[in-house]
Amino acid sequence: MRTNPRQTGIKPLMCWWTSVCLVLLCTGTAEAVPAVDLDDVACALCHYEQGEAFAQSIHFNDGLLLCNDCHGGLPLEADNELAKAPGTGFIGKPQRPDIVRVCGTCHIAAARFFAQGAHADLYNPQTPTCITCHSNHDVRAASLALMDSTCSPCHETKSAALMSGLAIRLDLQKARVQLAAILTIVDSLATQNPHMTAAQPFITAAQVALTETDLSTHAWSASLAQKSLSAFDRELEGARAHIAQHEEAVHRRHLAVAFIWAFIAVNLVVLWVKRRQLLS
Amino acid sequence: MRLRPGVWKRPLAVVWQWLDDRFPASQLAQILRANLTKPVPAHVNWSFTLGSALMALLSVQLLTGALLMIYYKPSATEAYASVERLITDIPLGWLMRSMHSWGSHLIIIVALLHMARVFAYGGYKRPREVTWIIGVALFAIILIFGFTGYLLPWDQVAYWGTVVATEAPASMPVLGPAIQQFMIGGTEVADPTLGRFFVIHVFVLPLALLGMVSLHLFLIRYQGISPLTRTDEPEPAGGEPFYPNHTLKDLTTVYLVLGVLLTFALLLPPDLGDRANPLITPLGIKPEWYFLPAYQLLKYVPEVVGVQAPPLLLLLLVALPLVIDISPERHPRRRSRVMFGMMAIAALVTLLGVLGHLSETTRTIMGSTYHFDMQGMPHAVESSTGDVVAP
Repeated sequence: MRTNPRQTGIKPLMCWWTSVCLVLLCTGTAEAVPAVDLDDVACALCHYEQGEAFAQSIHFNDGLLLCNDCHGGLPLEADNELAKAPGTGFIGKPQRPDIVRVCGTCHIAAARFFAQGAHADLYNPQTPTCITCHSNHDVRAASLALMDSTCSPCHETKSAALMSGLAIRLDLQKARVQLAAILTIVDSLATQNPHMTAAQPFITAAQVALTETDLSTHAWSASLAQKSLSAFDRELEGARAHIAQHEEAVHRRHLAVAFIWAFIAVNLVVLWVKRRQLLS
Repeated sequence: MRLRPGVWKRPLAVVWQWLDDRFPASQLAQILRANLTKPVPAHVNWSFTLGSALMALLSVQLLTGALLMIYYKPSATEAYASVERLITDIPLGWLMRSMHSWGSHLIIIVALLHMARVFAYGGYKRPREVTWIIGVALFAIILIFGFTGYLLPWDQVAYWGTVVATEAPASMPVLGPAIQQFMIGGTEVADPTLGRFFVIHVFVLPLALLGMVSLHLFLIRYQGISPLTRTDEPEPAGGEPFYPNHTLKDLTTVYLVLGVLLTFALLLPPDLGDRANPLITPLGIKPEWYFLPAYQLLKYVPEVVGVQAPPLLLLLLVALPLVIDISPERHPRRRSRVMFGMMAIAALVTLLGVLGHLSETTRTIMGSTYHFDMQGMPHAVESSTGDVVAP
């Protein structure tokens, strides 16, 4: 904001501060940062190994959670007794059947799919829970690479379960590549054809379907994955139809240009003949 | 009214006679015909058709501008959405906008070529000084058209380009702050600025343009096309008539220029960026190509000097037939000094434009990658191993 040098007093200062605050408000959320300093977390003073692991986690680094979100208690309370006092919701280490419930408090869709899958036997110590794949304190972000490293320790190579999981993983990877390719095309065409914005709802819906497919991997069910992948394909087809429309429009424009120049050529010939007649 | 016998066989003649009974229509037509059929000098070639091409382009701008105005809403809250609607929902709205946008670029190019032709053939010399001065004023009007029209879509590039451009006049001595205040209508580019630019773009400038173009054309027809002889010699008579002989050549150029305009408009419609946001300055903001020389000059000289260069250049063009080149010679070979001087200025302006275009970009030239700094100076980009990066 420009300030008039002749203006004095509080008004320019207020304008300046308002601008600074607005800029900070707009830029402050661009990158997530831990909400608190880990040195302030009293739990980590004794449970330092867990604290160090937690410091690496997506939960801490995105500034989303602290110890109490899974364990209850008051993580910033230095007094041990007060931190774990009744009424603070302290549950200590969640037992195996509770793990999915605790994670599912936030990851509702993932827990819903997990409950439908082959791993959902909560009382069978042979089956995995959330922390088997995602770890507990150094919680890792879900990714295709995570699947590569977490399935094989339990499932034998070329076993039916591993092959079925691998097929879902390959379908997911293929879908992501397709989506990235369509996004690149739509972005590049948007500058040439403003009508391409109409493809955006299809792309958003495809992204939602892909997220649904990602989440459905918690069930490791080929039929569930296929269901959301079909929705993804349908939406992608809608976006492709818009791209085809654009290509058709571009083709029509090329034809129009060819027609215009043919028309001009004919007129130029007529003008040239007329001029020759005048000169002769 | 008493009609001539047999006049009912020709209805147009009836109308004409009706008009002729009320004012001297036939005499006016005779004067018009005499001016239109005035012979053009023997040296007149295809470059003399650029004025007609310019007229055709200005007509396209008026027509497409009027059509765009039907849907455009000149307020900071509605302008962007109205342009967005125009290019997505209105049938052929995108084409109108594209033609208007490309037309503005082509007009500058054709106007520069037209002025270069008039300059090269000494067409501004006595007795055609006023025609030239009006032409220079028309060129200034075209530039202001470009400047005011640039803001109207109210997207990020338009907004910030205007913010930068309206900062410069403030540094002019005495009147600078007042000029800036008048231009933007407040302390920053906002709704009042858009309103002013809109009124100037769609009312003030077209009115001025129509008046001055009419005067320009009248003088050209009245005085005829400039010969190549000395100004102190009588102008030679003879040559082929302007109408219909030369007009056929004019029409040919008009067809070609309109073909180029439609080709660009159809195949490369202009982009509409993100909506203007006064809180987020996008990177690499630059003005339109025809303002790049002035933009680049501001980086080398104090702002107070730089902002006065473009008006001074226009004043130099006005002074050309009055003070600078008053010799009786019209032929370019006999005006080598002024020809060389103007070519040097043109080369300098072009160089500044190129440097402005290259500045703050990274480009690969002859296999090596260079970063052009703010001044447009190239610096070889080195890889982490210390080698010059090659593609």
